[in-house]
Amino acid sequence: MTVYELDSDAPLDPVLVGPVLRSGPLADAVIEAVSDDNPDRDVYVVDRDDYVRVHTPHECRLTWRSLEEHLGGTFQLSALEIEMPSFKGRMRSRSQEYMWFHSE
Amino acid sequence: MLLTQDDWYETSRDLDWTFSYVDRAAAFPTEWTGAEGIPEDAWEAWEEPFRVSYRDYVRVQREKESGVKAVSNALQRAGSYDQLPASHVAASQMHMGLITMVEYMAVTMQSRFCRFAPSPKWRNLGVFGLLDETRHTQLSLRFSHALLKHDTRFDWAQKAYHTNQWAVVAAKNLFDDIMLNADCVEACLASNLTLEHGFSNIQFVALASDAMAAGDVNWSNLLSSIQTDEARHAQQGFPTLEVVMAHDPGRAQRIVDVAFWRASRIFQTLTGPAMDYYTPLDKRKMSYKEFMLEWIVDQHERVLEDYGLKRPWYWDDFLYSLDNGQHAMQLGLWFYRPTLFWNTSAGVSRDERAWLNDKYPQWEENWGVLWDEVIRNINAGHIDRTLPETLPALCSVTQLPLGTAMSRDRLAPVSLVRDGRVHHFDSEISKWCFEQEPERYAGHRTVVDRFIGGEIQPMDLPGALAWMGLTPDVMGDDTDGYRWAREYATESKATESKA
Ligand SMILES: [Fe+2]
Ligand SMILES: [Fe+2]
Repeated sequence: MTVYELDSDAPLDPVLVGPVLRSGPLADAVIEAVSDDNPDRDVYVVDRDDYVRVHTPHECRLTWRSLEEHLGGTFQLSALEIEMPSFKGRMRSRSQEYMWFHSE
Repeated sequence: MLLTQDDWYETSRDLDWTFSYVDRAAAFPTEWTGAEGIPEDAWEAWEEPFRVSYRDYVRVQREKESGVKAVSNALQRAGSYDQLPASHVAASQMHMGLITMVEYMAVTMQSRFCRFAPSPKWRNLGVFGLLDETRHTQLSLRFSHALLKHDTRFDWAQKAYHTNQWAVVAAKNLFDDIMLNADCVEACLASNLTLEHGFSNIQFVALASDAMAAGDVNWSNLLSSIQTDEARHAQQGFPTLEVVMAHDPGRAQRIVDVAFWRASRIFQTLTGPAMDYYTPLDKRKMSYKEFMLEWIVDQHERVLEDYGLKRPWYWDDFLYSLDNGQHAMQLGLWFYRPTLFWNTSAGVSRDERAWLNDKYPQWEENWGVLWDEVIRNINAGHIDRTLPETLPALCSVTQLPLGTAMSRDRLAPVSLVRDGRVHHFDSEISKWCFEQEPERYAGHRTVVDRFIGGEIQPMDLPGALAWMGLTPDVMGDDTDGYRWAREYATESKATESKA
C-alpha cells in the first residue's frame, strides 16, 4: 500500500472512488485514515489546492476510529460532511464507517 | 448499553400511514409521485446511501453556518472585495443572478418530496433537503446584500427571476421544468441525480477552486459549503434510480438523457465562460473541458453506469460540444453584452489566446477568426460594430441562441413544424428532447417569439433591453474597457511597417 500524489491535471482513473474534501487539517487526517483503513489498496491523492481527492481503486473505507486517531481528538463521522463537497462512487454510511464503492 | 444511531436509524425514518378513509391513490396521486407503473412495494427497497438523523443534521449545519459566517465577516472587515479582479467579480454576479432563485425553486421541489414522494424514507430526507435549499437561498442573498453597496448588480440575486432577461429566461425554463413542473420521480432523476450529483460540482467545487485562486475566499467558501449539502441530498437520486431501473428503465434513461443535455447547455453558458474567459489567466486551474471530464465523465457518468444506465445516445456530440459550445456562448455573451446584467470579460488577449489554443486545439480556427474581426473593429474605433442591433434566433428547448451548441462549421438549421408553428433547435439533440414530449415544450415562447408577437415595444434593441429589465447601471460592458485589444493594434502596425 502506497500513497500516490497524482499530477494535478492528469485524468482520473474511472475505477477510483472516495471522498473529495476541502483542503485543510481534516483532509490531511482523512488521507492518513484512508491509508490505514484500506491496507490492501494504494491511495491516490489529487491535490487541486482548494480541494483534494482521496481515492482508492474500487472500494474505499473510512472508519471513525482511524480518523479520530489521526485527528488526535474526538470526532463523529457525520461531521465529515462539513468539509466534503463531493465524493466519487456510490456511498454507504454507518456511524462507525463510511464506504465508497462501485459494484461493477 | 447505549444505542448507536445504526441501531435505531431504520425505525426512525419510515413512519407511514395505513389509510382508513382515503384512497391511497387520492393521497398520493401518480401525477405528483411519478410512480405510475411501479408497484407500491417496490419502494420498500428505497435506501438512502447517505444517512442523516435530525440531531446530527442540526449539529453539523450549525457548524457549517458559523464557518461561513466567520469567513465572510472577517473578509468584509478586511475590505477584500475591492482587491478582486473585475472579470472574476463578473462571474460572481452572473452566479448570484442566475442561481440564487434556483436554490429557492429547489426548496419547493424538496417540499414536494416531503409530501408526495412514494417512499416514507424519501419523504423524510426531503425535510433535510428543503432546509438545505433554504440555507442556500439565504446564504446567497446575504452574500449579495452585503455587496450591494459596491455594485447594484448584486441586486439581481433577488431581481433576476422577476425579469425577462434572456439568460434568466433560459435558466428559468430549465429549472421550472425539472424542479417545479416535474413529478417526484422525474424531479429526482433530473435535479438530484443529474444536476446535483453531476453538474453543480462544476460550478460549486471546480469554479470555487478558481475563485479561491483568484483571491475570492468569501465566495469560494460559500460555494463549497453549499455543495457539502448538495453532495448529501443529491444521493436521493440513486435509490430512486434503482427502483425506476427495475420497473421502467426506458423512462429513467429518457429523463436522464434529456436533463443531461439541457443541464450541459446551461452550464456551458454559465460556468464555461467563467472558467475559460473570466478567471484571470494565472489563476486558472484547468479548462472547462478538463473540469467537465473530471467531474462529469470520470465521476458522474461512472456511477450511472453502475446502475445500468447507458451513456446518452448523443455522447459523441456532447464531447464535440465540450470543445466548442462554451466558446460560442462566450462570443455571444460578449457581443450581446448590453443584454446582460453583468460585465463581460473578453478573455482573448495574446496570452489568453495561447492558453485557449493549448487547451482547445481547434480554437483559433473555429473562434479566433471571429474575435479577430471584433479586435479590428475595436482598434479602428468602431465599437458600434461590436454591438448588436437585433436579437439572435433562439432554440425552442434550451432558449439559447442557435449556433451556440457546436462549432461554426455545424450550423445546418434544425427545425420541425408542429401545429403550423416552426420550432428551431440549437442541435439535433435539443430537437430529440422536444420530440420526447412535444406537448411539454410546444407552448413555450422564446424571447424572439415574444418580440415578433409584439409584446416588446418599441420593437428595437432599446425596447428589448427595457423589456428585459436592463437599466444603465447594470447593463454589461467590457470588464477591461477594451484595453486588452490594444496589443493587437501595435502588433499589426509593427508588421505593416516591416512590410
Ligand atoms: Fe442548493
Ligand atoms: Fe440541491
